[in-house]
Amino acid sequence: MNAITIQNLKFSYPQAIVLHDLSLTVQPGEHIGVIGANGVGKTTLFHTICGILKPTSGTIQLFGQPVKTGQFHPQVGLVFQYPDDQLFAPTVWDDVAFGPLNMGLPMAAVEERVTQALTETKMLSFKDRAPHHLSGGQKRMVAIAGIRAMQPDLVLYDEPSANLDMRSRRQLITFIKNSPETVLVSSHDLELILEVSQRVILIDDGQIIADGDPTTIMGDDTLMEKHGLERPHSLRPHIHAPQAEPHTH
Amino acid sequence: MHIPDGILPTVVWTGAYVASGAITAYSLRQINKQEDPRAAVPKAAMMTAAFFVASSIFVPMPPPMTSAHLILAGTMGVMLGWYAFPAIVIGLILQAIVFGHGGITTLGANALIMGTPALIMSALFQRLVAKRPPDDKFTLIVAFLGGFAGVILAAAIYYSFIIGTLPADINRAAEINATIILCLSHLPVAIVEGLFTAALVRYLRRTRPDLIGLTPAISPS
Amino acid sequence: MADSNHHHHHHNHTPDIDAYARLDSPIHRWDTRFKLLGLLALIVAFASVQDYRLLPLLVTITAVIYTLARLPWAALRLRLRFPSYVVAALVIFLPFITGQTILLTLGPLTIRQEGLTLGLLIAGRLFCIVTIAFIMFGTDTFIRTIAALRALRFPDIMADMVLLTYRYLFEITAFFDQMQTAARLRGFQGGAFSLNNISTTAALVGHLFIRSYEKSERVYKAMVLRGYGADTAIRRDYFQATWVDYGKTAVMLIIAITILIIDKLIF
Repeated sequence: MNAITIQNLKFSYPQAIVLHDLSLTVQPGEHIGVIGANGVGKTTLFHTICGILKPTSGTIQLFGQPVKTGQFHPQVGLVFQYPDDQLFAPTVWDDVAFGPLNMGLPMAAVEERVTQALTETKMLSFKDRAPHHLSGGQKRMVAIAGIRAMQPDLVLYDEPSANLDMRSRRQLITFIKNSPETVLVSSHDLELILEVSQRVILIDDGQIIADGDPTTIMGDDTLMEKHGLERPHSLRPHIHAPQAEPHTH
Repeated sequence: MHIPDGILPTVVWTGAYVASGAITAYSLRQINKQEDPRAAVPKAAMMTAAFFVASSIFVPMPPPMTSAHLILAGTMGVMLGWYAFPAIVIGLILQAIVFGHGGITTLGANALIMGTPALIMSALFQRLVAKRPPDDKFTLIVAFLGGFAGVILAAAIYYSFIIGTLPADINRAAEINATIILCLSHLPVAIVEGLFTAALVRYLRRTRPDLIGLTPAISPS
Repeated sequence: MADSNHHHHHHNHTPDIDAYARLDSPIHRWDTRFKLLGLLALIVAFASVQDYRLLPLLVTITAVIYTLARLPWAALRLRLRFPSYVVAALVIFLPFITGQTILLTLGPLTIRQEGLTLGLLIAGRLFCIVTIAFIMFGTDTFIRTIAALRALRFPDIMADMVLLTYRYLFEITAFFDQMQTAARLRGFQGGAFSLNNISTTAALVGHLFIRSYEKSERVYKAMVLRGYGADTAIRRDYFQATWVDYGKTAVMLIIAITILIIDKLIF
């Protein structure tokens, strides 16, 4: 059974078409990078997959079940681009427990899941802190723990490395790489995409332009530049690299 | 709870304008006494916008009602201090200009409906809760009563304006009774707003106590 | 600003307040300060009318000015929708509770003339005032209207707050929508009444307050860096009235005074 089956997905606002006839299948456990310039429909795609937005036409199935817009789908988690959109509870512990409690789990199971999610994200020692007082990287990890505690089969990360320092970014990359679930990561941080994904899809103007091996797609200068992107540094032929330069976006 | 144009007699709406104008002027004078009066303007504006958004959400109500808007008058008073009344006036101006709701001639009366509970709750909250310990139950009770009384008070002013000025052929006692009955019809909303206010105070007490602080909520940074 | 490029679709809900500000008409060309004063005088006169027999006059004046302003009628219909509920309630309710002259008796209910005419009077005043207010604010950009208020001695701090509040209103709405979506994705239904739902809603609102507050601190720093609050801030007065503006204002004042006089004399 496919993790995701999208057939002829179309999404449009009154003034603009965002997704044109997009089809995609994803196998369970696959880690997929989603790349494309701003405004090509990456966030809209994520929002239709997790049922926030209703497709104009087309179908989306997750693990064989059709997505019903507006319903609670605990098997899908979305990590928002801005952790502040997600973290609102008075303490870290309360925030991570929010999803499991809404799933109707018994208290013991909730506690177990929260402890586990906070341990995996290395945030257990912050459990009594207010999310507002955390750093950007810590907020991101709490947001991820909040999703992880629902034990979803599919996690969508929207720009997960935005505003992270090097150490937090590294922690995030390691974390996503080792995640057992199916993962879709949308990012402009192409080095991160390169590290965490086994497959890349390039989106432009609401359509999938390329779908395949990350190094092949992202190493293709002509393709990348045509769609407003750049070949990542690590895929450039290095003539000499005596001083390894720190690379940021 | 907005009174639209065309309902109030001229004497009443002009009187309300004068009263709310005076309160606004007094509030601005208090603000101008601060070291840099403009320092808190962005904070007050942002909070006004946040209150605008918060009062547009629907909160679930016990049956047979389904949901209702929050009034948040008391909360505004507690969080905005001297900025509360001007903030309410600004909310009403925006509502009149942008959305065409509320009223032009009744702006003063509408400001009194919201602003009076805000000022009273602000003063009471500071008096009663000033030196309470952080995990104190009394603070939450005061918050509940503040939210509750804010709604009842706003409703009382609202219905006094309307019933007191309509030339209905009923006597004074009947008018007062009608006002009381109409206010009582707001009891469920008042209880929910009381619970909401207590929950909000408990939340802010744990996260940013300075925002409901006992020092003026908005202080120049 | 980092937040400005997400959730484009929120802009669909934004009422375009300046939608009709760039049309051309005698009302659009009227100096904003004098337009505010002239139309405000008219509103005051309308609000004080006591005799329902003046209503046809009020409606005619309103219709003429609206036609002069060349605003679309569909936009007015939208504006009048909300006041219509209030009016409907009054016109239905008042004839039963007020007045002496009995028009009609329906079983236990009596419909009285004074209540009926009062209902009509209130309805007429309300519709005309809402329409004039729409003309007043709809024929200029929001920014110009606030600038005109400032020129008319509206306190600076208040004017600054109006502009900033408006500037952040839609952004904060977008924050809040996004937060509600995130909570819903983690199973928050929020529809039913329970202490739990109330306290979750309170946490969402509390978080919104904190976020707004913290953002305002950053905004203030950015504003100060660009000179906000400095006494040297230029108060450019870009309004210049001509005799045409005075003329239009005089016409409005004459109409307003005439209405007041007729109303008093008939009584």
